[in-house]
Amino acid sequence: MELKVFVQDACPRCPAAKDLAADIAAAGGTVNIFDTGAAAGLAEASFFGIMATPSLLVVDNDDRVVGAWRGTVPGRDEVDRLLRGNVGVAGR
Amino acid sequence: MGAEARQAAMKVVETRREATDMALFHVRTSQDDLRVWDRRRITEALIRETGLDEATADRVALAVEETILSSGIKFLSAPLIRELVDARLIEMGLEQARIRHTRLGMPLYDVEQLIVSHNKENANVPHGPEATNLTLAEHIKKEYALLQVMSPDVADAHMAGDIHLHDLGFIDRPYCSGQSLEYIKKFGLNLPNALSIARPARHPDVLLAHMMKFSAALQSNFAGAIGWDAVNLFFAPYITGLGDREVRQLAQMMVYEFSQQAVARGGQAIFSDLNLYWEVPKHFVDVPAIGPGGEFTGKTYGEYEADAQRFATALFDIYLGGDGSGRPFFFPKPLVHITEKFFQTPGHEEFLEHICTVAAERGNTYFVFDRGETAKISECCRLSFKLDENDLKDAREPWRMRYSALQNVTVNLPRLGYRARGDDARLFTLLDEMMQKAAKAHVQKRAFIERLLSYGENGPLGLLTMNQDGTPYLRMHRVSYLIGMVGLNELVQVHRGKELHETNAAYKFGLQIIAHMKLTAERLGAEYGMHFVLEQTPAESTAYRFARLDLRDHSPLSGAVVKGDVSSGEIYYTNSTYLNVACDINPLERVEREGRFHPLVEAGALTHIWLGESRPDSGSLANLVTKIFRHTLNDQVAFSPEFTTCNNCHRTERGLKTTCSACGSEDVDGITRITGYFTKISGWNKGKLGELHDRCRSTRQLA
Repeated sequence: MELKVFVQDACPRCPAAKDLAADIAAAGGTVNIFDTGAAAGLAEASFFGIMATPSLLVVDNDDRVVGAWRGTVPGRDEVDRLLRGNVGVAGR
Repeated sequence: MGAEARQAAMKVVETRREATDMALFHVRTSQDDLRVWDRRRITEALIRETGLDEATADRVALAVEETILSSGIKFLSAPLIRELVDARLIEMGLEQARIRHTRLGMPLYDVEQLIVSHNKENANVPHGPEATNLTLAEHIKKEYALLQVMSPDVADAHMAGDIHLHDLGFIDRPYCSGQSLEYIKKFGLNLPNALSIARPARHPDVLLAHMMKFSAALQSNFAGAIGWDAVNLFFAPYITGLGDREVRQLAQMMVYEFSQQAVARGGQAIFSDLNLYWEVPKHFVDVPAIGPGGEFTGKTYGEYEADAQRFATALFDIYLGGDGSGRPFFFPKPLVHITEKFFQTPGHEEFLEHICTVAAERGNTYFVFDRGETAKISECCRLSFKLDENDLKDAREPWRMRYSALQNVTVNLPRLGYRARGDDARLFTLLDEMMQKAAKAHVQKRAFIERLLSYGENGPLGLLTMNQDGTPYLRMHRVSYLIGMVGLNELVQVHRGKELHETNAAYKFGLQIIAHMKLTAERLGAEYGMHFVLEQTPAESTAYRFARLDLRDHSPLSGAVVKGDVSSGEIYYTNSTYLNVACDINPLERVEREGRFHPLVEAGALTHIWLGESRPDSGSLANLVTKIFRHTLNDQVAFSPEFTTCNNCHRTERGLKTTCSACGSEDVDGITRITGYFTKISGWNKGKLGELHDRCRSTRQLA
């Protein structure tokens, strides 16, 4: 499981998403941050149909989306549950 | 040559000149007359056209005269003399003067070929005297553009096939135009230098006549598509009170008028787009409606929903019937906007079923998906954009809503792959260079068009400077500049070893290329103060041209990725960001996967579903269209059936056949979509024929 965080400059709620990402990474989670203002980040966002920032995805090893928060920052618990593989919690 | 030697040489010539009766020499001039030889005319032309000083010019003229005298030539024409002068200029190292002295035109052989054979660069150009005129004129204007409008590096990049500058033969026109009927409803047909002026129409058929004439006038001033926004809505105030039969008659006239107008420029039908809505678009709901005589009706467009819907339904009734022999109408193209509000508007189920029946039976319908709550508009060439504050202000007075793309430049992506040799950094550097070159071409085109516009209403682009509402018709501050791409699939294949549809890694790399192009276009736009947008170039002939040039210059790498049949020469690159047309994937998956590129490519984004002979059920198509809207990011989808029409018994049947199944005649024409429009296959270039052969028909999946 991997947490993908999509952010860009001048996005008011992106710092909160980055803070959450940092917390999860510090706790040993696999986290990648994508800047949609750069080609690689924008490509990854396009692949997953991300149209707003901040957005967070939990994806499995086959790029299947397990949980998604588009244009919003979820609580730490929600993300943790999905990262642990508890897919019973529905993402938005 | 020293001064002494030169003097001696001149003396020889002068002596010969005396000995020969120069009066015997007559020159066929470019002014359609015969004139006695006069060397001075060369000198004067050189001074006038190239800026050479008189002594040098006269030296050139003398040398040419000597060549003529010593050759024993019997037939002398102005073009021949010019060739001799140019040869002499090269010998004397006067390269700049030679360029300025260039004669534009075509060899006799080529003109003969052109007059008797069919030009297949654009399948929308028939063969006939008007078409020949168009091709000849385009040829000269193209040469002019490459020599005089574009800088040598940009022209060379085009000639080499690194980029393609579209419509160079229309260098003195913008590319495409999108507008609303409100302009002619409010101002009538009052065109600069027109022989007569018409006041605003009072009757629906007169409004249609104005629309047709204005479209033709615009076709004469733009290279590409002429798009009309919300046609059914803006016609609505004129059809209030008309019976269904009369509305149907009006719809029939509109479709036939556009589809049969192949008598004007180059015998081409007007490449026309009708944008249609089932609902009243949000930004027009409260806008005061203009009705007969150009007067406000006292109602808003929100109150005309029912009449607008009647007209839209009638138009699709006509499309469903096809033409007099059951063929699909090639033009005008109906683009139906599918929005959130569409699904909230009563009657949308029946209308969706209706337009899906047309899509299944005739293929005409284009489904344009405008998602989200933000108001969007389809400009010409399918460039859609969100309406900003200024646009919404314009929407209050919809006659102001006029948009244009000035030029289209396409980048040959596979070639970057051959040059990068697997090195990512080098690939992106090369891509930046080509984008920069495309931007430079746009700057040069803008400067040229601005120069033509500066001559005002009596100038070459007078129509575009007409000013009825305080702003010139062509709103230069709102124009876009298109940067297209061909062969993303082949670039990824050569660079990463897999095609877009083969692995997620290849697909993501494709997205990265286009994301890079989008961000670069934005950066260049900020740098130049111009609106650069990516376009899925239709590339009707460019996909063939690039493939042909690369097969010649970048073999063996190109040979491994070029699509089509190399032995027959029917080769092509996959258009824009499309997946390989031959790959056998479910249509919804194709729509979904191709659609992920669409938010990056603002103009012309479209997925084709090739139906072949199959005739899917309209209910299944309606389901598919709803799913596409709800679950993908795809901007636009078209379903393309194939037909065979018999020139003997005039019946049209499904599928591509070599003989008519009704009368057995072999005199048949195949019909299907070439890029963004239907046309006869007999007019297709070899590249598109190769693609047609490869297209995966979605018979199984949609059945």
